[in-house]
Amino acid sequence: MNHRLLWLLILIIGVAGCSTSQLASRFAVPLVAGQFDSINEESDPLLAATAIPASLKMLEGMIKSDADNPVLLHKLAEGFCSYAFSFVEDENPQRASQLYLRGRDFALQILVKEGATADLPGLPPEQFQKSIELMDAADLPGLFWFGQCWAGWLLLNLHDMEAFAALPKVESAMRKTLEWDESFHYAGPHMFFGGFYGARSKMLGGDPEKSKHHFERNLKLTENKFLMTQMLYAKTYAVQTQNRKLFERLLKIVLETPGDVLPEQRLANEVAKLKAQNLLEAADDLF
Amino acid sequence: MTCFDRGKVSSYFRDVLKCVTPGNFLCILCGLAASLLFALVVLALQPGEAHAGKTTYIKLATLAPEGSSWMRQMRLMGKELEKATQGQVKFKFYPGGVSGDEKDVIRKMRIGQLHAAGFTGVGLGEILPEVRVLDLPFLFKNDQEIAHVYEKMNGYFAGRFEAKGYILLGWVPVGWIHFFSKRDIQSVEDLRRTKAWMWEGDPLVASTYKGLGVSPRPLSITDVMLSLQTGMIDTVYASPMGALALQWFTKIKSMSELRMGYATGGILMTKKQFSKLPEKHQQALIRISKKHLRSLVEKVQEDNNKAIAVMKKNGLKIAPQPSPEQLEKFHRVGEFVRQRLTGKLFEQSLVDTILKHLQDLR
Repeated sequence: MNHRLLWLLILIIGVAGCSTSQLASRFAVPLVAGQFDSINEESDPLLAATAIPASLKMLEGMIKSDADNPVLLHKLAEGFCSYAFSFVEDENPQRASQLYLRGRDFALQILVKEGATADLPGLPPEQFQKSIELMDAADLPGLFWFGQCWAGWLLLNLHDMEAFAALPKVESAMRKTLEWDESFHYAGPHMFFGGFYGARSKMLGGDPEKSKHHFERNLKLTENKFLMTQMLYAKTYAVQTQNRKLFERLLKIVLETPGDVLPEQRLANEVAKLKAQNLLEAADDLF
Repeated sequence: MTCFDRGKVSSYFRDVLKCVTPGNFLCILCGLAASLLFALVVLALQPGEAHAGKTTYIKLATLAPEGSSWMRQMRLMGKELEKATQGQVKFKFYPGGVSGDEKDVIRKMRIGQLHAAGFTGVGLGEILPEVRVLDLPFLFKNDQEIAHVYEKMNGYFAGRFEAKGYILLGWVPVGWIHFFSKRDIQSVEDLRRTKAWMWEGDPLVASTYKGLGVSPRPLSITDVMLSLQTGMIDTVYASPMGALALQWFTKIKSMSELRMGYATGGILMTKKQFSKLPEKHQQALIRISKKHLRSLVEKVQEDNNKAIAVMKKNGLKIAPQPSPEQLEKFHRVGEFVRQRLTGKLFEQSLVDTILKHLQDLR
């Protein structure tokens, strides 16, 4: 390398206040984002399941030299939780629990960077609620994945009393995201509340009417193209209300809709199909 | 369906009739041949064994959600039973209240749609009112007394349930019941100042509050959360796990160390379904359920203790035990309730038996 160029590079680094590795990591962000998109567009779940761990480890490596990078943190939170949900939790709930918590803690780092306390998950519900009220809409991605990942952990840990203490906090985090932007991540807040109210009996806080409302709103906003919604609608609301006809109708829609109906979320749709098939096969045990 | 299904007489003839469809007339012949053999088969086998080779399902409902300690233990129990009976007896679970509340479940058990269920004292009391004697307020003082009385009374209650058409697979009590309130509860006067909730239709708590001089607000359990939010009520009673799982702990500040009582619970199976099992499978079911329900009881106790720790971490205060004078007042209310409900829910002789067992320990 030309000496003058080398000095120029050192000067840029010095001015920007970045280390060489930080700079390298920031140059690599578009590359990482591209890789992330390509995984989301993958039509072959097996290929994706094999590729994702390496990508996540690469992202974790990059975060070591650029700890505050919100783009990397966001991708890590989303990546860990989606991987746990799509490929781990049905076979190994214990391992999935740990992956969900790793995802949640990356999302927490985004929130901490914006001023939240690092002890956010451990705050009593009332104080937690107050901390959420101090956030603003710019915190949406961080708070959404924080709540989403924590909910994933919670559902796998209902034998642990800590999960019930987490429940009101997860709810208030996700309620905030619904208030900020109901359409965020394929109307994710509505999908969350569909399951939140649909997966429990009335006695334990469930509400079939509210569940239905949120699932239907999600379907409207996503134009029925994000098939995870129909799959979860069947798995929670239809099972809880013991409506086998609806259960089968929703899952048949998932199986019959072309996987590429939403090209940028092809992988999620293919995974929804696999889960739908498993649910249909388990129907006799559920009804 | 095969033409020659071994089974009960009525279902056998129904099966033969179903077989008689156009294009299936040969079935009539095999049906006739089968009918000749049928009497021999029935004579040769015990009624329960007529089903040997077929899988009998025990459909069990519970309010506990999938993934909870309850359901995890049930799944283990199911696996062990399936293995012990070579797949001939299997549980089919309906968790998370999908079969409705306890009254719905009892109705479904009566018509054979469900065969077994986990109940609290309220559900058990719908079937056998006198079992509520175990739920009497301020009756037990410690875990040792509970273990003693349950052990001594098990045979009696199992027999009484059987007379009502149910097999008691085992007790799974809900646990100690505390007061959860927006204020500290350390005296009868503290309670009188509250806006207390009462589970509507529960004669035990109605009498307890009458004895305490408290006017409770009767509400269904699903209305409690909203009523705590609006301030219509500010005091509830529950097991620690109940207060946590139902999220009531988010709306109250203090849990009384004082315990109102020990809420019972258990798993019942219809005798009708039980008697369909061959005797060896009945024994396997009794043995396996006893083993797993004992583990579950321990787990429920652990969970109740852990629930207190978790709620404390999340801001719950513990109101210390009342003074001895105040405790005496609460125990007098216990006696008042016992007298009031004797002859209505249970007989004097039953109360006396239980008090005698307690006296043996005290």
